[in-house]
Amino acid sequence: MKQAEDRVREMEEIINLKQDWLFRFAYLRVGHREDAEDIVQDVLLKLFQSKENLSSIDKTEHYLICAVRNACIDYLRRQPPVMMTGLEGAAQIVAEGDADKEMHEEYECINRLLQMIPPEQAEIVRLHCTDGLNFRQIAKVLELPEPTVKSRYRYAIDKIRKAYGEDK
Amino acid sequence: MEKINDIEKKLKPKAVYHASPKVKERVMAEMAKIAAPIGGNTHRWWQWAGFAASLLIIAGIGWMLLNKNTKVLEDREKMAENGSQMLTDSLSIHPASFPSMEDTKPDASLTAQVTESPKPQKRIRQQTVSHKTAVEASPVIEEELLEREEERAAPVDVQDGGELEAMLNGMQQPQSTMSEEEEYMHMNIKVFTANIRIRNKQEQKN
Repeated sequence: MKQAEDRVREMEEIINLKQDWLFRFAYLRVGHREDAEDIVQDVLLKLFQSKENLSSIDKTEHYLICAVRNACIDYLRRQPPVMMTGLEGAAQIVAEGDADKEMHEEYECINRLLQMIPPEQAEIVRLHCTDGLNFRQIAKVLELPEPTVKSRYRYAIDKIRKAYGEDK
Repeated sequence: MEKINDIEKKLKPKAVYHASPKVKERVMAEMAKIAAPIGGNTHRWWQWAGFAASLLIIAGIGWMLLNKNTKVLEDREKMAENGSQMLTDSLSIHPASFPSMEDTKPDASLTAQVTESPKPQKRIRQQTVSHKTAVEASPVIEEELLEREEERAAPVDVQDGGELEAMLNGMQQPQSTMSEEEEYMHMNIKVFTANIRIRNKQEQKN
């Protein structure tokens, strides 16, 4: 009984600390508030049900990043490819609130930039720039050697710079 | 290098991302549901009630089995008592007139003869050793045989339990009108007296 109560208390702390960060992480991949919230909610519940030691912050953070990332990948795989016209996109933005409008614009802007590079490089750039993970953490999450992560990141930025310069 | 920094700046999110408070509410509610069975519900009243009911059922079954066994034993005892009563009634013997342990002791004269007479092995050896000694011993055996025949021919004393002895010797057969239970009791008495005799003989030998 006491163990369960302690676990609930620890989970509440984690939710207070990480909820918004996890939501941003999911939203910038999914692009929908409700779906991003559902993903975060499911991941938090899975963490509670798992036998993870919640007192270890590093392990918990790693678990959450991996779980949310995998959930987003699953979500995107399940979604049918829909080509949205400019009018429909504008209507969706109008339907959402002002804060959501800003978020959605940012999501689209980042996505537009990352579409210029291969997905494996885009993922590293996303994790480093938008999610704020360092290269060691990215290497751990993606299960890659750290030098590979660094080189992929450099190539990705070069490609974006070239493409951005050409666009301009 | 500056350009890379510009691109990184472009990729860094500037908007404020807030998950709705419903997420936390839903997660907390679900966690409360999941956490409840871990510790809180183990002491629910119906679990204790179920445990008590199962204990009562087991105790009831045990009591029934025990009661059944004791009833069977009581029935057997009653049957045995009835059988012995019926036997005594049919034989018209008062229970007080049943032979006591002292009455069932063998005749002292016979026991003296048994003790005095040489052991059978020795006798056989004597016979094989010399024909003359065997011939000398023959009158003693003849006397014993005669005494036994006289005992058999003598009138049976019912008060001393002689009837039972006579029955054992085959002089008097049980009545054909006896029921199965009576015959069974007769057999029991025969076995009882035979056992007493055997025991007495063993004691004498010892």
